[in-house]
Amino acid sequence: MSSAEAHGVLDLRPGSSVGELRFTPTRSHVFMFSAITWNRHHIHYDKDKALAEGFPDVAVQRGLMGNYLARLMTNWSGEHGQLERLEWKVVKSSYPGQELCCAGQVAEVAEVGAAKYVRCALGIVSVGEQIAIGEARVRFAFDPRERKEQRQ
Amino acid sequence: MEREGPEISQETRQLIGIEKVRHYQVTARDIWRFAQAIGMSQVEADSDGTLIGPPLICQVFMFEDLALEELPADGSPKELDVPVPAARAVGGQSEFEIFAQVKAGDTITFRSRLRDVAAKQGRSGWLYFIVVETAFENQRGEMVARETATYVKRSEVDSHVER
Repeated sequence: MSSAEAHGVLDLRPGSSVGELRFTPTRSHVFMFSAITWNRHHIHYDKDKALAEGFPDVAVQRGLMGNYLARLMTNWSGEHGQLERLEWKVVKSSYPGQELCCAGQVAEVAEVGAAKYVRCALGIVSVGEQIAIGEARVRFAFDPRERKEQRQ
Repeated sequence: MEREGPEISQETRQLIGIEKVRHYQVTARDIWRFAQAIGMSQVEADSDGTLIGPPLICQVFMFEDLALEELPADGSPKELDVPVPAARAVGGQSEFEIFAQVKAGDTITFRSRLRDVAAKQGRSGWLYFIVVETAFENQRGEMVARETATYVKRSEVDSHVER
């Protein structure tokens, strides 16, 4: 059962936590992500060239960080939630070996018919520094009242 | 007070709105490799056992399959090869809208266009914001995702500037 289901989607309100996902990307992850997306920008795989551009190591891709936020949201929302929108902005570079802590909270809840739309404010932090900020919208398709009755 | 940025050249403006269209068939291997790259050890499947891609699987199709010699000198994606007076391409931001699942066997039609180019003053010089919009449709003509990506190009070395 996902975190959102465990806490009851009906009870979600601004300020509710979406939990956290901690992940430490390695150089292998950065390499694999460049390979599967065919991103050959040398700052992601060639440390010498990354150093020449002023980075201390190869840089973790913005796209890869977005996937950590997506995983955070799908872990939280579970099978009844549909991640409909994800927006994120990298505010500081991060590097392999740095633990990234992805977390967030519900910012707004709106009900439209049988669906509940939940907007969440997200962030990625590493060693106390903000790496990325973001926002997500998740749609819960079932009737939350009906779901709650089933659970009782 | 923010200064007005340098003018974007006519050569650059002429690139705005030009659409590129490509088609890709999604394989189970694409899905497995993407999942492993983002740190997942399991992949969802539908009731027929067909693999379902993670939410941002369309990132796999973002960049053109060009020869290395056709890329800018730093290997950055051709999509960013927009004539602005700045060479260093860095991250930026993304907005992904997800409308439907992408599954192994789907054929994805990818339509990408340069939407805008703008200049802003950064701490270490002018920053150029290149906005690329990409829409992804499956073989049934259903829009499965749309991304608006903003890439930043800058000329100065500063690993701590906004990316």
